Order: sequence, then C-alpha cells, then structure tokens
Amino acid sequence: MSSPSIIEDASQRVDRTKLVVIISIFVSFLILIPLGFSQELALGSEDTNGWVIVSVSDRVSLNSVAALDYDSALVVGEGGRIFYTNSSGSNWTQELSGSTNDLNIVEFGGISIAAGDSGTVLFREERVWVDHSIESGNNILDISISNYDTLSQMTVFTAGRGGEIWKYNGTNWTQLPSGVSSDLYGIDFLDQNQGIAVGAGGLILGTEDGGISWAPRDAPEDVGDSNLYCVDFTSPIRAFIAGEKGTFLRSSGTSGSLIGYDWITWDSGTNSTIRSIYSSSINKLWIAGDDNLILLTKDGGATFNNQSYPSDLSVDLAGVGMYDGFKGFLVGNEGTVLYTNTEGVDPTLAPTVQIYDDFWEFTTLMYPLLVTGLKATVKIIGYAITIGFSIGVTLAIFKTSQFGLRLPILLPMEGGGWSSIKFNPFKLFATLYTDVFRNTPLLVQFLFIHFGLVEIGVDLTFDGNFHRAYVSAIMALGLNSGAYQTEIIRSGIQAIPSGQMEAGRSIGLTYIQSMRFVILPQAIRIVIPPLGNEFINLVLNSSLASAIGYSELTRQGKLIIGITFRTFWTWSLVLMFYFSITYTLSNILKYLEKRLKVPGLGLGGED
Amino acid sequence: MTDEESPVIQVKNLEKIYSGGVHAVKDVSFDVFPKQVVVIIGSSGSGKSTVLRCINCLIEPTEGEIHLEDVQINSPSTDINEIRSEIGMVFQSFELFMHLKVLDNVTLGLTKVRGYSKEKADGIARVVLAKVDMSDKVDVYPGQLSGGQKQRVAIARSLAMNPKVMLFDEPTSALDPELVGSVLESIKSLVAEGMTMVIVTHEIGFAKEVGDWIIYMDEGQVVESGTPDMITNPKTERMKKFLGQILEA
Repeated sequence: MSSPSIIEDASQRVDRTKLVVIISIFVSFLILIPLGFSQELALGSEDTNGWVIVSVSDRVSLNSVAALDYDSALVVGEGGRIFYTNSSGSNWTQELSGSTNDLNIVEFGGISIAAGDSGTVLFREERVWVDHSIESGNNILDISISNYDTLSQMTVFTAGRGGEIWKYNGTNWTQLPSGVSSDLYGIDFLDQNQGIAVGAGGLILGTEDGGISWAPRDAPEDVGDSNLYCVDFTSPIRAFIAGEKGTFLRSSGTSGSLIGYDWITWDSGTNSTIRSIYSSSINKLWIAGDDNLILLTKDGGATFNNQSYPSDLSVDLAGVGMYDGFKGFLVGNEGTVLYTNTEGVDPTLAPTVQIYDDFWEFTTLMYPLLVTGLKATVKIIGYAITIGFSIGVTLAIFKTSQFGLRLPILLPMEGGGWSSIKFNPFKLFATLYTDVFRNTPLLVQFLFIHFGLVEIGVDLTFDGNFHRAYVSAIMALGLNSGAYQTEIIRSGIQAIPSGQMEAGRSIGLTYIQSMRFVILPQAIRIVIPPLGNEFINLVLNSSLASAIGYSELTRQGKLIIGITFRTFWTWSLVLMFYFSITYTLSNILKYLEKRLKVPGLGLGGED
Repeated sequence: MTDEESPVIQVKNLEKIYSGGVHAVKDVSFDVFPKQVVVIIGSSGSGKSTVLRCINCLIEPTEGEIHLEDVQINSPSTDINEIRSEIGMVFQSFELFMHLKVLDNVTLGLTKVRGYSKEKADGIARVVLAKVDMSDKVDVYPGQLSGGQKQRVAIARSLAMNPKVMLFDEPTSALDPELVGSVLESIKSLVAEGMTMVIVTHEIGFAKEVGDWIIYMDEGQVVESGTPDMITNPKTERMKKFLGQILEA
C-alpha cells in the first residue's frame, strides 16, 4: 500500500486541472475583451449633433419658419423681416415685406402667408409679398390655411389678441365670433369645417362649421391657467396642444367620433414653455420651445426624445417647420436658425448612414449588441441548467423507485400461487415525461410553450414581472434538458451496485437518505462526463430561443446582420462568443470531474 | 446462553418465495439468545443468505414472523429504519461507501440516523476503528484499502451503531486466503466481548470455534441444528455429504 503517494499525486493533478480552467477562461476573455476595448476608443472621439446652426446675419428675434422644399424655407421675425433660403440655410436673402410690424407667423400651404402685428397679412404671390392686411385688425399670432386652390379660391383663418378670429374667403376678411376676449395664440383647421383655437389661461375653442360658431372645450384640470401656445390638428383621429411649463395635451378617443372634445395630459418631461409643434406624420411630432427645447416624439407623445445642437447659448426657440420627417428648420431669438437632414440625430449614430466596411469599426459598433446577447444567453442557460438538473435528479429517483401500489388484479405465478400487479405512479410519471420531451423537437417545444400556452391562459410573465420570452426560453430549455438529464442520472444510479443501497438501509438510513448520502453522490460522479455533454448541448440549443424572439446571441447576430449586412463577420463573432461559453463550461466540468474523483469508483479512478 | 433469558431474535416459520416463483426458504424457525453466536452453514443456494436478509428486512418474508426482542420486525406498523439501526449487517462484498473516507463511512449512520454531532460521531468511530485495528487508515478512501481492511471497516461501521445483534453474510468468502485471518480475528474479538451474532459462513473450522449453535440448511430447510459437536458427528446423510465436499476442497 503506497496510499500517501497516491493522495499526493491526486492533489497535484487537481492543481494542474485548476490551471487549465484558469487558462481556458483567460482564452475566452482574450477572445472577447479586445473587441470591448476598441469600442471605447472609437466612440469617445466622435460626438456631433443632429442640428446644425445656420443662423441669419441679423441678430433679430425670429418667430416662425415654414419649410417650402427639402432645402428652401421662409423665416419671419421682428420688424417685418422675412428671410428666404434655397440652400438649406447656407445662404439667406432678405425679402421685401413692405411692413415694419413684427411678423409672428409664416405658413405654407400651396401659398406662403406671413402675418403679424396690427392685422398685417402678406401673401407671397410670384415671389413678391403682397399686402392683404386686415384693416382695424389686432395683432395676429397664428394663421391656418385650411384650403388653397387659387388666389381667389382659398380659406385662411387667423387668431390673435383680444380673442379675434378672422376668416379670408379669397376676396375679403370677415371677423368670426369667438365669444372670448382673452388672447388666442394658436389656431389650426383639419379641413374647412373642423378647427381648434387655443389661448391664454388654458383656453380651448372648437368649431365644426367653418368658424361660424365657436364653443369652449374643457382642458384637463392640471392645465390650470397655463397659456396654451400651439395646436396641431394632425388628422381626423388626432390633435395635439402644447404650451406653458411643458404642457402637452393629446386628444383622446379614436376614430368614429369627432375629436377635440376630450383632452389628456401627457408628460413631455420638460418644464420649459413649448412655443411651436409640427407633425410630420400622425405620430411623429416636432416640438420647439424656450431654453433650447427641442423634442421629438415618434409615438404620438408616449416617449420624447430630447435633442440638442452644439451651442452654449440659451436660445428660446419660437418656431419649427419641417419639410418631412427628417429635414427641417428651427428658429429662435438672436437670429438663430437650426437645420437638420438627419431627423435631428447625430449622423454617426444613425444606422442608415453607416457603412460597415471596416472590420474594427464593425466590431466596435456591434460589440455591445453581442455582449447583451451573451449576457442573455448566460442568464437563460444558468437557470435552465439548474431547473434541468433538479428535474433530472428528481425524476431519476422516481424512475428507479421500488414503490408499488398493489392493484386489485391477481395473476398466476410460474411456480404456482398468485401475485398482484404492482403499479408505480412515480415511475409512470417520469417515463411519460421523458418520453414526451425526448421524442418531440426542441424547437416545437419552444413554440408550444411561448405561443401555445398563452392562448389557454397560462401567464408566464408572472403578473408582468418577467419578460415572457425570457421565461419561455428558460422553461423550454430546462424542461427539455430535464428529460435528458433524467436518463443520464438514472443510468448513473443503476450503475451503483444494489449492495450500496442495502448497506445504507442496514445502518438505518431511510430510502431517501440512502439515495441522498450514498447512491447519488456516487452516481453523479459517474455521470459528470455525459452530464457535461448535456450542459454543452443545452448551451448550443439555447440558440433556438431566437425563434421565440428572445434576444440571445443568435438573435442579436441576426439583428446585426439586419443593420450591417455583414454575414461572415457577424456569424464568426457569434461562433466565437458561443465557443467562449462552452469552452469555459467544459473545462469547469473537467475540473469538477477530477476534483470529485475518488479512488476505486469507476475505471481510471486510481490516477 | 441460558434458556431462562428471552431470545434477542426469534424466527418463526419463515417462508420466502421470490417473485420469480423460487421457494428459497421453507418453514425455518430458530432463536438467538443474548451473547449467543449462531452460525448458519450450507451449500450455495441453500437459502441461508435469504434468511439473514429477512432478519433485517432487506428482503420481505412471504410468511412467518421475525421478532427483535418483543418487536415484530416484519409487521407493517413497525418502523423498519429504526429496527435496522439496531441490527448490524456485514456483507460478503463489504459495500463500503466508495465516495466517503473510512472515518465518514463509520460516522454516516451516527450523524444521519442517530443525530449525533460530528465530534461525538468522530469519537465513537475512532474507538470502533481501533477495535478492528484500522486506526491508521481513517483518512483514506475504501478504494485504497485491501479486501481484509475493507471488511474490518465494514465491521466497524456496523459496530458503531451499537447494535443488539450483528449479522455476517459470508464475511470472508470474497477475500484472498491470506487476508481471511485478520477479519476472523476481529470477529473473534467481538465474540469475546459478548456480542450477539448470526454468521453465515463457509469456514467450517471457524464455525466450530466461535459458534454456540450451528444450523445446517439445505434447499431452504433446516436439516440439522445443534451445538458445534454436530460438525464432528453429523447425524444426517446430507450434512455428512456437505462436510465431505468442504473437507475435500
């Protein structure tokens, strides 16, 4: 017996294995980390904004802007100033307005119309501004061109000081009875009949007959007496109002009924006063206001994206005018004009303009997506292995159990006498379970759990606490792996001589205790290699979770290809990420196997 | 061995029919009195191991009664786990727990069944291991021991539970001849301490030396039983033939 030397040898072996694990983890990181470093280097160096300053030379207050084309616009401001550009704001030319009154609003709707103080109204006819002012009119603060065919066939509404609302029918101006005397700051018509006007102290007026009669509409209570500065009657199913202290209202109700009667406050996330809103589509809304406020919402006001431009100045932005959802202008005091053709987003961040022809640039930008996927994968396999192992141990014990209910049926025995049929419900359950899960495709199990169970009312989100795809992925992987682990662990249990159970029982341990302290510790040691295979299979199978929309590595890979079209690079990286998981895992298991090896148990136990 | 004392083990009309229909034990009855050593001999397949396994219910008897003192072992109302811890069992193939070191093999029952603390269990285990002369091997795995050493650890494991009776199922038949001696020495030292035992064995000489009462079984039945003298003076032809075969071998 040279047992001391054997023990020494074994402990050295363990240390060497430990080293292998450390090296393998190191290798994994070697694969992953450089990609991560390059990310910080590249992203830190570029930081530009989506809005470019294209101010006019006069440092006057500009009040309104109208985009005429993708590169041309009109801007109006104090002292009757009108500026025109047809070069996206690179060059501005001042146009002759023939007025020195402050111009408060310019709008384009087939024809360009500017309006301002003391009833000033100017039509731009053949690039010349023609005076169509309202005699005895008060200051005009907003206009709405509801219809334009020709100069003589057009409908324009104005709103202004003292609650005045005027209508132009192609020939002359008539005042409409608004029924209020407080200032009206905004007016907008959906068609020739439906219109909304807003004003001081939370005032909202509505008409359905082309302005012949106006009736007040209730603002939500929390608006209080905040001034409402702008209104956008976007579509038959949607209108927006905004004003002081970031107040933002959205019409409620959907189609079918007339809108504009019921308003709901939405959180714009700002306290600055909103001066102007512009809808470039039904849910895409541009907002400008005091203190450099630029907001964009693409979901009808549910979420707001704060935008900025490179400047230290505090500018009150008074007007927004967009040509489409991506190109447009903002104006404010100090002659400020801002222009974007990238939806106000930093062009380097906008995926539409990125060309991925440099590998390092590609990995740099896509690395975070892959790491997100890696984390998601590791998360589900961690839980799935735990669930699978628990199921495996439990059902393996069920499958090897000797328990029997005697059924009241007697069968004749060979040597004479009768024996009753024994029936083991545990064994039956475990057999059914493994048969079902091992004889159906894993992909279909994923689909069944994720899309099937929800229809019969199984709540996998646990009252909304978890992402459903996340729980589905864990369940599908865990339950499926549980079936395979059951068979693996059962084979381990059956490899242990029956005498071990007898020995355990003979010293007074119960069946379960004998399992727990005698059989399982030996059985699990024997099955570590096949169990390790199963774990690695589980990791690889986790890629099927992409089919139910769970954002693990494979799905992230598909996403990256959707952005970059770089299939070779993407799948190479995804493969490397999977390799780093499984390589580490298999080495940990190898280490565990050596670590737990005991002499005399199984072949090769002595080395 | 006095007849006034009540028996530790009583076996009454024991019958065992295996599920395959094999009638292994037919109407076997005997008593084991305190400090008595009962030795069961017989050829392979004679049912002697089955009898032994029935005594601590590793095999459920088909018919008959088995009593440990005044408790009927094979009754549904008996907690069999509690009874088993009172009956030590030593197996032909040792059945040490391969994944546990020698000391832990001995303490497992003490900590899990008796609920002793680790320290108390360790103390008891070291005492019983010293009795079987295995004190120097407490920290090795069974896989690193010779057969004789394994069997002595197995004896210590049973002994640690302080059983009322110990059952030996052919304790030396899996051992090389040169290792048999040390195991028999350990059993003899237990006999000297007055341990009650039932031994199933092929070692006729050993049976004669330690046995107080010899039972010879053949084809599931008790053919002959008596004091050790019967080995030298067998009454039945079957026993004579059996002894003849043993001596030839």
